Amino acid sequence: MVIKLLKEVTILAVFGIVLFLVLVWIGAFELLWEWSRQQEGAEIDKLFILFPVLAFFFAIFLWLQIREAKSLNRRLQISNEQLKISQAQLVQSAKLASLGEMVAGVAHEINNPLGVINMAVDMSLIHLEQSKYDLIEEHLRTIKEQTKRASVIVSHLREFGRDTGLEKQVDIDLNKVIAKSFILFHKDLSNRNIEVIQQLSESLPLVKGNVIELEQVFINLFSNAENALKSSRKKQLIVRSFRRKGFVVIEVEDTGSGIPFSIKSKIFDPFFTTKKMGEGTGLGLSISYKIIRNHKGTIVVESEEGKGAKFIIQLPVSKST
Amino acid sequence: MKILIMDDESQILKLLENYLTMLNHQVVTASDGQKGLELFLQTPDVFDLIITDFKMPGLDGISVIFRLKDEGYEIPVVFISGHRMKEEKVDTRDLKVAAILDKPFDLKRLNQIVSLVEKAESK
Repeated sequence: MVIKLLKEVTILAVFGIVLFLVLVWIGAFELLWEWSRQQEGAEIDKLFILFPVLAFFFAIFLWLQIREAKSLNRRLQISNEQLKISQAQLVQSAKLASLGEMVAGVAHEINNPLGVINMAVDMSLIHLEQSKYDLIEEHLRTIKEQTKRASVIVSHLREFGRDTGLEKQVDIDLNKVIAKSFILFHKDLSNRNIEVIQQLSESLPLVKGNVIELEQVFINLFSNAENALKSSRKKQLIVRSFRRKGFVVIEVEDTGSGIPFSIKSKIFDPFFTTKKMGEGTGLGLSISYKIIRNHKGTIVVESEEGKGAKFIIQLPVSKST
Repeated sequence: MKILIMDDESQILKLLENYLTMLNHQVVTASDGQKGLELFLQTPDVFDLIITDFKMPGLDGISVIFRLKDEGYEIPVVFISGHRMKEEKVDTRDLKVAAILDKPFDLKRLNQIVSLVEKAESK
């Protein structure tokens, strides 16, 4: 603050000096003018006086412009920073929204092992009273196995919920990312009688990217497919992975209701949703689009109303493979 | 009592079967709704209670109970719920629902419910 004040005072002082010099110039010119009038043949152009005056005002104008430009630049920098923060927050909230949409399936996934554990404990206590130790051992093994099952889900949720803003890009096997994406709601899919068909290439090259972000893309696509399949007779979710030239291609296809032509161009727009108020954020596909674009890839959709939808993702093969 | 249990979780099925058999009930188990429905319809009159998971692949628990109601069988039922989400907010007022148990639940609680059903049915 003090430095800024000193700067302003210095600039004003400089201008004061310049103004003083201009006044001295005008004074000197008046003297010269008087002298030239007294001397025969000596003439000074009257416009000559205007030069330092114009120069002075031009300097002030220039200074004001520079000041304005500097302040604009500063404001632009601040806005840029704020935009970056907002974008990161948007990505994070979209991720949490995806989590919210999955929460029912996840709760089911966790309550199942908890239910088994609770019953196994109850049975152990009964068998303890009856001194049937061999049966207790069996219950303990069940508890151990179910605890592991629940902890896989919890650790995965924790990993997914983490802020990945500063995550480095690494070489990734997309087949593994697809498998991980299914952890959180494969049970939900099977409860809805959705048949999952995975046609994954066994020799899929690696891509460079952020695991959590790419997983978010697949979760969004699977979740959309699940919704589209709700009222379909044929309930299939087909996931394919293969190599096409320098790209890894992932196709996520469903036999659901499809996308009407009228909204096809809007589906990647932020906040565009066909879901009821409170059921969807309309951010899933727009964030997915942004993530894929950040990975130097493309995502497109092929769909006809009533004939399902196919999302095609292309990501460049990692140069280190 | 003769009890039909339907759940797609094999461990839950096994533990419930062990527990209720220990309490001198006759237990029949099915790993999904379709099998459960078929088992029930083979000998519909012998069952006193159905214990079923709400959500199951294929035919789910609630659909089996409604199907049985349509066929004219009104049997006391205990629903087991993994998570009471929207799908489970089904109107069950027309059914003979003895209880809805949220996982994880205590076996003692199940025993209390089974005993209450037994008392009510023997009256």
